[in-house]
Amino acid sequence: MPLAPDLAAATALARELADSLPEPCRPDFLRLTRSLLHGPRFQWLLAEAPDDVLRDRLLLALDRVLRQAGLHSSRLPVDRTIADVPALETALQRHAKGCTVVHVLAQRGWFDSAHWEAFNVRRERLASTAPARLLFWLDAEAIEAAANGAPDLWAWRAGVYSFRESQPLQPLQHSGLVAQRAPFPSTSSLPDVRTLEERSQRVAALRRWLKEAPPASDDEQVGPVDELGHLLYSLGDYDEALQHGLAVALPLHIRRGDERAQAITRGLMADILEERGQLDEALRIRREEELPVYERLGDARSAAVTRGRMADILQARGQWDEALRIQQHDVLPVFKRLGDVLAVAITLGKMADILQARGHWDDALRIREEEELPVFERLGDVREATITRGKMADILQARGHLDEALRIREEHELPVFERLGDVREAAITRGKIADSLQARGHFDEALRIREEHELPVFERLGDVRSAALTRVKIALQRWDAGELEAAQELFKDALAALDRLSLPEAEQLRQLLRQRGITL
Amino acid sequence: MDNHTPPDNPLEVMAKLEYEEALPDGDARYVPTQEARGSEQTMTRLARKFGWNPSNNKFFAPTDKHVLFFGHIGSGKTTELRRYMGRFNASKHFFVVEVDVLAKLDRNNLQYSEVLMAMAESLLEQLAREGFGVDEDALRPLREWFAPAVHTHTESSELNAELKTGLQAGGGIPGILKLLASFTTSFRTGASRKTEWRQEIRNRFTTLALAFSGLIRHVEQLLKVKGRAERVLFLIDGTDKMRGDDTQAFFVHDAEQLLSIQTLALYTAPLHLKYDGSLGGKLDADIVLPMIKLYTQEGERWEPGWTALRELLLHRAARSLFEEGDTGEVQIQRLVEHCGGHPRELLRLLKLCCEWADERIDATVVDHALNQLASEYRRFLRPEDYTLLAELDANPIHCGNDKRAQELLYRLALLEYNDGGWRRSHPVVRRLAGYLQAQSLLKQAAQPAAAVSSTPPSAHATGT
Repeated sequence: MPLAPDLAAATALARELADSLPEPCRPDFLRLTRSLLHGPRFQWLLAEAPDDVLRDRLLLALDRVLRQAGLHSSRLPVDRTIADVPALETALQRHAKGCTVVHVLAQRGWFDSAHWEAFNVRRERLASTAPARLLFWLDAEAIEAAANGAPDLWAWRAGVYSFRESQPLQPLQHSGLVAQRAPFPSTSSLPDVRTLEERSQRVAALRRWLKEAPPASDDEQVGPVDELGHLLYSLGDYDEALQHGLAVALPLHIRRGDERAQAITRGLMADILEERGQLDEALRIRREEELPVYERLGDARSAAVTRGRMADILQARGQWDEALRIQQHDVLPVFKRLGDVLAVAITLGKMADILQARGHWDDALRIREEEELPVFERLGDVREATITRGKMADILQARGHLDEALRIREEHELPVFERLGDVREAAITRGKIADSLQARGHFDEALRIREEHELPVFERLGDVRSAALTRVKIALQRWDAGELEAAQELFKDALAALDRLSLPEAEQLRQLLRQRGITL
Repeated sequence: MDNHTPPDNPLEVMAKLEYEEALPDGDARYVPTQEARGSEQTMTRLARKFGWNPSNNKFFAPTDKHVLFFGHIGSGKTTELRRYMGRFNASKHFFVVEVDVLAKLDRNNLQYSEVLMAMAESLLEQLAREGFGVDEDALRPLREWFAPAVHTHTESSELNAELKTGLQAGGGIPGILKLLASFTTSFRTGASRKTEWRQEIRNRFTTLALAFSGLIRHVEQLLKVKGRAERVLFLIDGTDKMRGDDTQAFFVHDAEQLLSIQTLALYTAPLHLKYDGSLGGKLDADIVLPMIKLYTQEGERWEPGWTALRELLLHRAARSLFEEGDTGEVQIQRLVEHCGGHPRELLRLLKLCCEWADERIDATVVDHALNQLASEYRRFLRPEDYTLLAELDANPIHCGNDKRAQELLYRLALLEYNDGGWRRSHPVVRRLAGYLQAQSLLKQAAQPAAAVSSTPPSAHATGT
């Protein structure tokens, strides 16, 4: 039976595009396109693509094939902004409307056994309410978790496809993860655990593609442009990130008439200004340029998130009452109404932060114990639960219960972050352990931890601010130990870094040096 | 089948393959598998549990009987049961009511309370469909049970008026159906009333159970008078697909509640439940739908299995998709052999072939398909799993039934034949290096013993 013309052309295009892919990927690419083009209307497909660049390239190629066949696809990033499986189900149903294929782009760690089990019990309903090819892009661990955690879901798979290659690839198109992600409190996003080197390589690859690739349409540029902005920010290249936002990203989004993307870009720029202590300007952007867009679009969730960020700024300015009021009255009710239990818990955590900062330790501890921690534990969010326990240890430490705080950090906090591979939080926890040891007079051990386990991690991650602040702590210890020359070098390095980023801590450091009579 | 023309193009085959689809009774693609499974007696055993002897048509049903029907995921339980139920219905002894809990309810956090409501709803729907009416007197106890619940829980609700209509006498089946549908819809959609309803049912369960049992008795008298059937039999399907905790709660902790409904009921149940020792003898739990077997326990080829699976395959893909003559037949046999007798695995292999094949399914395509399916098993098998599988294959009397063996059964790496008579590893697993290594180590370890053993190795377990 001859194929319909569109399908025949799409099949030919799939063969052509397969030839441009790394050799090991070709067979599974062709298998996958067959299933997508010719398989039943509803299918649950799993694709393993550990390399993001390769995945992006595959997505681009698949979407071209689908377009050729007159089919539509959409991309659904699944990360911490999707609190649970019911939220995922709703999102899948939304994406499946009018789309033949939904690319589910899962963040590492999201699909654990519990989430698969919850997904499993919805599968029949999804088959009727989200009748599309649901193509889940996963890592090997997530696929294994599906097979082990939900065997009858696994038995239901329509296909498993593996894409690995050995040659480095140039990026062709970004997945659009960043552009499509609704903004959420940055504290809730999983950390980017890629090393400084890996992220720098990605920046170079993105820049090369944007510069050298054949003239790409505005639509094709969106993903790479947004990703580059976020990477520059995460690397601490604030000037570059601001410049990129103003000169490249904003004009692109304005040309495309994409109000939401403009608001997200402006929000990123506000993040940078906030980091640099330019709180008034950051607040103005959020209030005048970001929030009105979400309100106009009727996006209650993003509007609440933005209000929460405004409260963060007010909190940083010491306007605690107003910050608390916003979180309590403008943000929390929205998340409660949306049934977003994770966002509710995070907001309660922020309220507890304010209470804790004001010394209302009992109230803060109550919220953390009774309202915040149980939610994270129920959701199986080990990371957030551990961070919360860490904050409870902060209260103990502030109350002078140093032994108990130290015990929690060493026995409960650190092992979890190490197990999760969250090197940043592990380094932060080690820094707090060093603080405790230093407070108890164990100077050598504290210094060793900072130099061997804290600073190198921040340097490797490209977290310039944390590295600079750790250097200051080391320098102070060295100075107190009489190692003046070494301490001065460290102070100099730290100050230069803080100045380079125009961070407010630069001025605080100068004050500290003046108070101690240290000249550089 | 005989009006059914299987597709002769790999892409068309693929388009029509849906693993989850259970075939309705009378579907042209159905292939009889009783002999192939060694389950000729399964339907008879099932019928006898409900008081019917199909061989002489004698019938004397127990007052109540709740039977579990086990089987591997995707082994054809629903397809077979629908076939059986067709015969049950045709016998005029039974009025079979199929309750598809997956369609009626939310599988997430499913409890007996909502299944009970779905049973009542399905019974009345079926009566209405077949044109039977029920006396008001018979409906009254059920309606009266609902009255306080509706008044307590639907004050100021927009559903109130509609529900109260359902409470009015004279509404007949449609009125009660409105009440029941309100329950099942709120259970399915997870409405806030779900918890209230559930609590209401738990609090006044005895009254409800009596009302429902009374209704069933009345319906049975009615059906008997009309010459339609003597007993109502509920086929509750989808209960094999509940969450792990819900499975335990439903079949173990709440078994007494199920048993308090005086009726005949058949529930599909996951195979692993049979072996984890938790059932405690409350429910009748000894019928398993066996896998289609390709070899006997002694390793001899079981022709009916090969024939049935070949036929099943060729109902989904035209013979012309394979090369002509023996060359094509060999590839068909390879596919059949490597599915291990599991129908869905055969369909999965066929789909994989169609992903690879340009026009025909030849030896290269079959190789690709087998390797791909094997690689999917490799994703979750651990080194110790290979050892256990190799031991089970090598030693027919190895009765490993610990948690690990149960998990392997659940994941289909281990397949069970003849109502649990014996087990074998999935044939594609035997292609994996991990298995071959475990098998080799096992042979080395067994060499001294082999000198004194006269048991020949199983043909089925020699690998490919």
